[in-house]
Amino acid sequence: MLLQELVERAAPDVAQGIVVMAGSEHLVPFLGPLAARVLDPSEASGPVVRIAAIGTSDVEDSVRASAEGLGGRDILVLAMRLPPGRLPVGRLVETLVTCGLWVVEGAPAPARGLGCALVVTRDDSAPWRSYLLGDTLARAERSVARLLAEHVVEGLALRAQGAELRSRDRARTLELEQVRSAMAERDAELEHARQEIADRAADRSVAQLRRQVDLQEAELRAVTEELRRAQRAEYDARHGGRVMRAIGLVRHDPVHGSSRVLRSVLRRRDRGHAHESTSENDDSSV
Amino acid sequence: MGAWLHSVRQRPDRSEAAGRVTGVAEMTDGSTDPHTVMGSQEARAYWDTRHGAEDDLRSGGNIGMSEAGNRLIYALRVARLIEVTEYQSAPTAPLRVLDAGCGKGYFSRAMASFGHEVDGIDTSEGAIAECLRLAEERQSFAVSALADWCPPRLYDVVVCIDVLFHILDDQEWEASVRNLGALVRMGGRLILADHAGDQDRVWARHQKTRAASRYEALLADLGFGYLRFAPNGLPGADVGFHVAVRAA
Repeated sequence: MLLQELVERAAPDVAQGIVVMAGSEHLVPFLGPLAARVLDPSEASGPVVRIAAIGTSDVEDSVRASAEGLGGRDILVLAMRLPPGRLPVGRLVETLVTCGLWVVEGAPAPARGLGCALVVTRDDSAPWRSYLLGDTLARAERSVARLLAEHVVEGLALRAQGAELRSRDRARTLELEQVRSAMAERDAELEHARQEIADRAADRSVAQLRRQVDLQEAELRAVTEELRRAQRAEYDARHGGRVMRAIGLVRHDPVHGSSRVLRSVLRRRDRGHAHESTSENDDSSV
Repeated sequence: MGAWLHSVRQRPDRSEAAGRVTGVAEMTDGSTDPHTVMGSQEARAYWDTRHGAEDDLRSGGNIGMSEAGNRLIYALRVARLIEVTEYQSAPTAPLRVLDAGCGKGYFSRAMASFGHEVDGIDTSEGAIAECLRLAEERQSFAVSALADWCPPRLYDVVVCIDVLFHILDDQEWEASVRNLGALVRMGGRLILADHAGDQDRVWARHQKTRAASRYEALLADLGFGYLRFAPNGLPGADVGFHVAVRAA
C-alpha cells in the first residue's frame, strides 16, 4: 500500500490538509497529487494529516516528538525506515500508548526507502482499517470481543508455532553444521587419497624408468662385448700370419733369422701402421 | 476448484440458458436428470477421478471447453480475484490467503505470485499431489474438506472458487461456509463463488447453487458485513463472488 493511499484514506473524512513535519520533506514526492494539499504548519486551522519520517534509531523519541501538539482529530502517519520485521515492537507500542495514540492502520513498504508505516490518532472513536484490504471497522462490543479473542487465542498458537519454528531452526542449524563437518572430513580424505594416488603413480613411473635403464644397460653391455670380440677377431686376422712367418724365418735361418725379424719389427714401428698394409710376401716387411 | 460456470457455445438458446450454472451437456456420467444430485462421497470421488483424468485447467474448469478456452476464463477470474482483494501486494509482510477447494492450484499459484502467502486445500489427493509438485515460494497445500480445515492460524482472505455449488448436501454446505468464515480474522475478507440468483437451484447432478440471500444471512450471523456481489462478467453467466468482510 502506497503512502499516498494511506493518506488518501485518512484525509477525506477528517482532514482539511496535510502537514509534513520538518525533516520529512523528502516524503512529499510520494504523495503524488496529494502534494498539492500540503500546508505550512502555520496555515493549518483544523484536523490535519500529519506526516513524520521516523529513522532507524531513537524511534521512541522520534514518535514522541511527532505526536507533540497533535490535535484530537488529527491523523499522524509515521513513515518508518525500519522494515516491519525489525520494528522495536515493545518500545514502540509502549510509546504509542503512553502518548495516547490509537493505531488504526499498518502497512509495509509504502514508499521507496521506507520499511513500513503506521497510522495513528488520538481520536478514540476513529475506525481502524484491516490489513492491506482497507475495510473500515468500527469498535463495536462484538468486534472488540472478537479482536481480543483473536489476540489471545491466535497469540497463544503463534507463540507455540514460533517456539516450534525456532526449535526446528536450531535442529536444522545443528544438522547443517554436522553435514559441513562431515563434508570437511570427506574433503580431507579425498585430498589424502588424491595425494596417495599421485605418489603411487610417481613410484610406478620411477620403477618403469629403472627397468628401461636396466634393459638398455644390458643391451649396451651385449653390444660392447660383441664389438670387443669382433675387434679381437679382426686383430687376430691381421697379425696372426706375420707371427707365423717370423717363427718360420727363425727356424729356417737360426743365425740371421732373429736379426731379420728384429729389424723388420723396428722398421714397422718406425713406419707406423700406415705401412703395415704392404705385401705379406715381401720378406723385408716381416 | 470446481467446474466453470458454463460455456455460451454449449447453449443453442442463450435466453433459455441465461442464469444457468452449467449445461447438462457438461455432465460426464451419462445422466440426464439434473435433480438427482450426487452424494457427498460420490461427489468427492467424481472430482478426484476428474482431476486425475483431465488436464490442468479442464480438470477443475469447464470440461466441455478447450484448454485455450479454459485458459482465457481462468485469466479473467484471476483478474476478478485481484479486484476483490484490492490490488494489494506485500511480499515482505504478505496477506495470508486460504484457497479453499484449490483443485490443482491454479489460483493458489497466481495469488502466491502476487506476493500473498497461500494455503490451498482440496479433498482430491491427486490434485493436492500435483499442487505440491508445482509448489513454489509462499505456497502450502493439504488434503482437507472445507468443513474440516482447522489450522492454528487465521487468514486475511479466504477464497472459495467454484466449489460451494459442488457441495450438494445443504448441511455440508453450511458447515463449510461457517468453517471458512471462522478462519477469517477481523477485517479480513471471505470471498465465495456462487450464483447471484435469489433461489436455490440444482443444475446438474454435481451442481447446486444457493440463493444469494442465504449467503447474506449466514454471513451476517457469522459477524460479516456483506460488501458486494462481484460478477464474473462472462456472457450469459450470473455467477461471481460474494464478498464479505469480518466486522465482528
